[in-house]
Amino acid sequence: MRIAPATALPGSFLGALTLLLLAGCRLHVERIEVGTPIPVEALRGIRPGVDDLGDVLRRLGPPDRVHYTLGEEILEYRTTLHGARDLRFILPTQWIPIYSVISIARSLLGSFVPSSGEGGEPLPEQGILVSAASGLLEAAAGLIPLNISTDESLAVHTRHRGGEKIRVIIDRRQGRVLRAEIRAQPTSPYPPE
Amino acid sequence: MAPRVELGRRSLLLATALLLAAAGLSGCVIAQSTAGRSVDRGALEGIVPGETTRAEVTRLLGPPDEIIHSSREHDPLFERAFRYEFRKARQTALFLLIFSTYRSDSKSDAVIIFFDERGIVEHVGSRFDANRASYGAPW
Repeated sequence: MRIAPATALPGSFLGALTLLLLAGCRLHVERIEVGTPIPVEALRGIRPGVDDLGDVLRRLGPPDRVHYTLGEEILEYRTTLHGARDLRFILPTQWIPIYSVISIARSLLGSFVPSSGEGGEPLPEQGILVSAASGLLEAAAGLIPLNISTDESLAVHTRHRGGEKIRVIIDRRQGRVLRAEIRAQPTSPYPPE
Repeated sequence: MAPRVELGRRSLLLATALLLAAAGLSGCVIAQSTAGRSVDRGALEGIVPGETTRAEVTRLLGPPDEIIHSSREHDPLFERAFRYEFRKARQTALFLLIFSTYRSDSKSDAVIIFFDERGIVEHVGSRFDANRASYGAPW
């Protein structure tokens, strides 16, 4: 009697597993840069009380924004850098009961996830773990076969946002630089204020 | 007698078919976008601080992208400066079925011209970095 060995996985199982892995998740890496960074040497060469608007323009170039107070002319220079690494799941959304469960779970877990805000702080590890749990919950609910529309959900993500915002304040009456302010974001070469 | 091992031919064929489908669904994108009008460097050299008027600047460079008002106490609508900008962004993207990348680099040519109370050019600042926008990987 010949014994059929159980050494090969059924093809239908392998196919289903492959389809699940390929269609359901995606690793995404991105980087977005806007603006030209100001050289540190040029910025540190600004001399309060000595330099005027022409000197600032020669050292730093044209500002991205100019605005005024009663006694000050303020030049602003901005650069931004955004980076992200995401593991995303694609989930079905049209079946209302499942989507309701997902939405409730997501909102509950979302209260534990800190937001990065405009300051651009990187997300701490706690946020990553909670986001992973949220994503896995949604992925498990999404295993039930549903049709048509899907939503992409972040499971594990790290994001950082950097860059500089530089302000040069000029006294409008004397026409001389009063001070230069630097607001550096994470990953900037400038020290924080 | 040694048991005969099933090769799983159907599984191999299915995996191969799926890999081919994944390769066919992947994509690579290289794109460039611009915003604004490019600044005429030759015309810019014709602007002389202390001599060129606001009207001559408009004739040489065209209407500005932004007029900056200084809100002076005696003339709230005083046009303190004209700003011109041409922005160029270069994007690189790669889409595989389970992996994707995206990079965008945006740089600009910018000119700002400050006027004094008589409407004569006082200071000029310029930067030509638009062509330094680059393609590449996001890491």
